[in-house]
Amino acid sequence: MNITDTNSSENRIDMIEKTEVKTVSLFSINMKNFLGNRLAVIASLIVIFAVIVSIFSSFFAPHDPNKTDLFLRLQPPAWMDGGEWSHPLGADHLGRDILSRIVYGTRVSIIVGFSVIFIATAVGILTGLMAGYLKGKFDLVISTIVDILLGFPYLIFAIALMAVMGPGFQNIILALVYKEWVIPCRVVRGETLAVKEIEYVEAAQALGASTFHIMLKEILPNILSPVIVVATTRMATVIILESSLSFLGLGVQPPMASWGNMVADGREFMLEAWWVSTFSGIAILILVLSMNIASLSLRDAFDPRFSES
Amino acid sequence: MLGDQHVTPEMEQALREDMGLDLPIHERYFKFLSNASKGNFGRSFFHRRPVMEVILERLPATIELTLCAMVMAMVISIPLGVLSAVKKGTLYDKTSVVTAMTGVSMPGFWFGIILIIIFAINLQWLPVSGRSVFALRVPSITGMLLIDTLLAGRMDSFMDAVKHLILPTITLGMAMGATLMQVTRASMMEVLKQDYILFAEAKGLKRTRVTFFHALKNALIPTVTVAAIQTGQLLGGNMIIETIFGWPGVGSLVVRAIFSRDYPLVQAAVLIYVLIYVIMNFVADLLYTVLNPKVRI
Amino acid sequence: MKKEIDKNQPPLLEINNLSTYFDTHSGLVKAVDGVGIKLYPGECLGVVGESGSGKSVTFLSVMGLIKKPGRIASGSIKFDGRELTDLSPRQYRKIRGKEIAMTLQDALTALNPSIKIIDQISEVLREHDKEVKAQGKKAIKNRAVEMMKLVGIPDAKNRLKDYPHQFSGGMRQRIMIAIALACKPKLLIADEPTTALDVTIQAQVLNLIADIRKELNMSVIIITHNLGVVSEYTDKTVVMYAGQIVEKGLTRDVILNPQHPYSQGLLKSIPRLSELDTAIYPIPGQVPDLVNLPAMCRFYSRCSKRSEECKKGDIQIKKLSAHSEVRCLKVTNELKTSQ
Repeated sequence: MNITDTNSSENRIDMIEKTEVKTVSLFSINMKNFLGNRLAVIASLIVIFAVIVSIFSSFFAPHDPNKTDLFLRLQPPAWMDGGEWSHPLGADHLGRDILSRIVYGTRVSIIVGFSVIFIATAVGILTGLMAGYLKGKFDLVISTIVDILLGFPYLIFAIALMAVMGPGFQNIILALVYKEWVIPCRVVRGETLAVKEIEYVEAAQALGASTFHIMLKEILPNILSPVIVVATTRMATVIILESSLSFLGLGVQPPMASWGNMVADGREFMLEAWWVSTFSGIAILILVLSMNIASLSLRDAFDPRFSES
Repeated sequence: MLGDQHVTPEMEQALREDMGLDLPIHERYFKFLSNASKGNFGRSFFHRRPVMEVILERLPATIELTLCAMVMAMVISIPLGVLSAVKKGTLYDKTSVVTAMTGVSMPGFWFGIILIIIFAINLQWLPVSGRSVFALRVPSITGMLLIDTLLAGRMDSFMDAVKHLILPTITLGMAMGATLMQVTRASMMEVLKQDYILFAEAKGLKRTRVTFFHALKNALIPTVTVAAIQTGQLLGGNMIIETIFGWPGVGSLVVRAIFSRDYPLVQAAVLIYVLIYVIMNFVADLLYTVLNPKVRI
Repeated sequence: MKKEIDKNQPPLLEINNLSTYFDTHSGLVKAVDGVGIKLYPGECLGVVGESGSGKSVTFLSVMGLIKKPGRIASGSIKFDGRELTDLSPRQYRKIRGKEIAMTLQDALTALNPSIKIIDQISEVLREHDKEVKAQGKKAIKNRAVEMMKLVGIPDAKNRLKDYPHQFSGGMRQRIMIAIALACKPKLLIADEPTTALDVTIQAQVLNLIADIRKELNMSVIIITHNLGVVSEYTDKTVVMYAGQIVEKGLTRDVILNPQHPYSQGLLKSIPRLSELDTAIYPIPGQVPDLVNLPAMCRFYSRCSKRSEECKKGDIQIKKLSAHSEVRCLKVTNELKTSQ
């Protein structure tokens, strides 16, 4: 992609706006050559591990995450004075074990992340295909909605929605989906427009295939790879968004643990108990970073065009 | 909203009328539009003052913070990105890229808290929150403390303002800086591959000239446009960071407004944010046009 | 256009056994392998070959512009008596643009789109010509206008502040030449000067180069795959294939009586208007992979005159006559038997 060469106005605007979406391509990093296969593998393993932890939380958590014990209130992590190895990362202000809460918090992040991306991508594919292939009224309506939604800064939109819908697990997924779907939609629409002109689609049309069939069988398989790459990259962003919303108290409600609200809990106790906020944030960092690395490797695997070393 | 006060039907009706809630919905909508275009967003429920007044009061603080974050992000990340591209593939490059990726992967609110824990609480080099210390207040001329304190000639107030600005600026600028660094790097790498760079070197020009005059000029085009767009997006991050640092800006105001169901204020804020977002995108387009001779002429 | 070759002078450029390799992920690419060339002052050399023959890389090596993962593995490059491979980057910079200049194939991509033409010309002057620089902006500007006029840009004075995309293709190529010649170099390396141009413009540009060459007594190297250009404008010709020189000699000899099967194939494959009824003879096969080159003749797989002997080891280039050399067993054997 020659950044300095885009000429037509639409191309350019698309390119600029797609930075959010195609930041992946602007990174220009070929993971394999650049940071080594190992890093990509480690990153993917971490993500898989997170999924496993979220499924088998009770196995990984040493304690009940919601069990309060005021004797353990603000107990430091094990390696500090006053800490114990039964509570390796210490306890929060209600005496709940931090490690266990982090383990169960993985559930929230993973489930929200996957659900939002799954639903948004499904909706996005559908709307994108319709807008790109059927054009006309469909394109007009869908594109307008997409443009309007894009005009809202993400967080404000989500917060506003949550304020109206009320907090909670399901609502957070819905709120995020409402904005997230426009991104796969735009990618799909763009790819559909490009692919539409290629011969095999015309061939299928000549053979009299139904519109639906064409959209599904001819176009979709060929645009899947960029869609998947975008989806995996966005998942990382969605997880950060969920944690931001939870931090503000708009996400999952106490006593349920989410990494975001754990950081919020710890804010009051920054002075005397830094560990309450710190570790959950580190968990977010590790998961999101791994997802970013893994998705970049995925992109390179699909599309060596964007590689650099 | 009236809380637990003893409410009579008359009181309720009076309040409704006052807030205009008794009119049919389409009338309310038009009234809103006509008022909004005049800058009248109604009165804030919470503050009991006109919304615009409340927002404008706190706007300078947000602008100051955002500007500082932008400047910091650009000043640090653009040179780093250029250096990374020039030293492509070396350890320096790999480290920078990984750092940038980490920067993007960190939740802003957590990063801010960590900074507070380390620098304000443990090392006690910087204040925990707020914008300035009461005792060092100066008369407000521009609303930007950095300027006002210098205008008032008070170095102690200036230093105080700076110290309060450091942590929020770093937190806000981090995400933007990390992305900007990668964009600069990628753009620079693209540019360095071009024939005109080879030709410039074939002319025997100095390395610095080739890198800065020939390469950077072209590489900056996408960088600057992305920076403009990112600034529009900074507004979202502003809210959380202002809340964490107790920064008296529009962001923290909006967060509180949402929680206290102060609808007029939220409406106004959302409208303003969207407006700024759209303006920044437009600015990005403009910049691209102005900077790219091929398009300009 | 052609000059008497003055062999009493030492060669201006002497390349000896130059090898430039690239360390890529797929292996070691021997882009240039044992190339030797002698060029005298005022001479015009044509370098012919298809893509991948190493012709551009050879002269990028001469310019010192080979970058990682490429490196000059061995050999010597002597210019005007100096050994270029010993030079520090700083010293090399002083020679580039001043004593040896290079133009690239596509002037559109070779000129920086964001910089005005006046700046692209004057920066060479400011860098290399201290006299003019000392005379100030106006003098530099005048020189730039002079150069533009020399290469035939109309209305030069007013067009100084224009950008490259505001000129036509032929003009851009001329501007590139103007930039290259601004400091009156001793050697001009023109890489595919005509490939990106229309046929009518091609002749103009080449004549321009020829005229300037005469005026400045400059040596010129024209890298091209166009044999017509070579036959019209060059004194000597070098034919390259897969990183090696397979034939060199006086242009008229190489064009009229090519010795190496590849050169023969090249000349035969040019469709001629005078022979409309004859078949076209493309050279079958493809250039070999430069990564895993076995020790044998590199043209073997496409050669119609090959024999088993050709597989038995690297073929050396051998002198055929005073001016000619060929890298071909068959030819050198025939010569031996006839002697």
